[in-house]
Amino acid sequence: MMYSLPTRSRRANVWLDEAPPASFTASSIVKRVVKPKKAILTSHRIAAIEMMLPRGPYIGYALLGGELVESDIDGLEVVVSVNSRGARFKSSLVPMGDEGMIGLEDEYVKGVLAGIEQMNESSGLPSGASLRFRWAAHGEAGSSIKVFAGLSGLVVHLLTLRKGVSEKEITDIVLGWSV
Amino acid sequence: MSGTTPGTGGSHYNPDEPRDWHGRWTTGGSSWRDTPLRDPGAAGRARTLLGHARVGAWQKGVLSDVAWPTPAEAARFSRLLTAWNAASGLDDAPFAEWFTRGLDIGPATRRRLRQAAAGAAQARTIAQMIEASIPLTAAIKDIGGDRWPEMLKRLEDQAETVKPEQLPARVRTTSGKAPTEQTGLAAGDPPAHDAYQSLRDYFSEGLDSLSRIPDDLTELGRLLINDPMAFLAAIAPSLAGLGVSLPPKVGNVYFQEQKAARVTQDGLDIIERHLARPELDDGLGDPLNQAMIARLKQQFGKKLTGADLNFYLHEILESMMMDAGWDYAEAHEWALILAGVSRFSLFHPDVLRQFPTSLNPRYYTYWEVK
Repeated sequence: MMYSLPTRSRRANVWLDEAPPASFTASSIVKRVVKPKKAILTSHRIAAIEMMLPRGPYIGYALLGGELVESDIDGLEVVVSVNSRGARFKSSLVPMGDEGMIGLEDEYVKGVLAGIEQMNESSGLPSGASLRFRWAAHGEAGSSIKVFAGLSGLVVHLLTLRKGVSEKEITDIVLGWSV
Repeated sequence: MSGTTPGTGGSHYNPDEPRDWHGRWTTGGSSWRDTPLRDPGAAGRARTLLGHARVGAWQKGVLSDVAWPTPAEAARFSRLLTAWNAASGLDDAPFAEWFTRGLDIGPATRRRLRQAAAGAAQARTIAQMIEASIPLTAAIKDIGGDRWPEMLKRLEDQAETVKPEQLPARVRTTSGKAPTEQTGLAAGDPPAHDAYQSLRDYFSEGLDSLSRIPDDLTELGRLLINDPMAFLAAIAPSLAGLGVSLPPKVGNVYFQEQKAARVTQDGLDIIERHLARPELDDGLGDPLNQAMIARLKQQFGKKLTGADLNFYLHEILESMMMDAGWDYAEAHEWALILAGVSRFSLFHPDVLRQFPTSLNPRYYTYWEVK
């Protein structure tokens, strides 16, 4: 299900158990296995977030989505698909003056992995599973390592939300998330 | 047949003889070239410029089948001219970002486009408009000769992964046949028309978004739609009170070196209130913004330069435009265009070094921060 969150400042689209329209063919894949400090339970198989952050002199933007697949791995395997430059991505959240492109550039992989590490430190991670980041879009001006770090942790958190979570709860989570 | 009769091509033929609008010789002494534009309004001006440029391009064998623009297209082009003019002679980056995004054309072509825009904005006669159309014709030729195949190829590549409704008309209307290696165009495509359509699509995209007009604009805010320079003139006294000087310009052009600002308490207050607006995502608490504000406070009363000047001026302009009724996104873009600065120029290199992962890599590239 997709949620377009009605906020005045930070704007976001959230997908739960539904793929965002930003799939791409990976030109390379980066894998890491992370040992959860605390194993957390998940309720959803897919979670994705697209976010626009108006900060005054700059506007942050990114979209990231992941699919959780059961695995016999001891820990959480993080699989990040990379594609340096995909097709143009049109969305009302892509800031004016920016250009959205489907795919995840190499340089943002470290952001995705850093966000997972931060999530592990603060809340823990799912275990015995593979988290495959298969959907992404970036802004030619608005994306950064930091934004992708914020979003990857949020994707994990969204996967843990109970079934039937309300839009209000999702909005509160997205607005309060540190990006 | 008399050899001295004007218009008969006799031995006294003089191409500079005065003619009327239709090219007929006149006896009144004035040349058709001095004829005022029939429609000096923005749309008429754009139509005339496009018409002359297209004729020129056709004569050069660049375009073989072109149509006159519709009034709506002319109006869009007219807005483009206004913005080009505003961007003329300034830092190349904002111009390139907005109006050549996706085209990847070179600086020479961008210069020609700007020359055409500046000339067209000031033209009062047919002769002046023809003169303005010359660099536009050259730019069309540049793009047509060198970049269209590359650009069209890119569009066709995108067609494999993007939904049809997301694509410009060029891709949707292609004949479906394989593009030739030489031109990148499929056999049976009407290349000139499609190329021009693509040009308009690319150019108009940014302008269309800029032309979204909020319902509750103030009178000052409306001024920005019709005459951005008049808007700047109207806010000049307020800017002066904040230590900012955007002095009058040459041919509607601001030059980077003419801009000046000294930090004042009122200016800082405006920036802090602006960044704390609920429309922004904790702009005041943002560490990058805090670092820039700290730099401004350290330079209180001093003349600002570089990123500090750009940041101070940008935030004040953005705030004034939002006060005038513009949404944040529009205010942000207009502030960049009117101040003639790149979006990547607003943060000082020392701040970028302090926050090496917080912004897009192009911010760091702009200031050559490793």
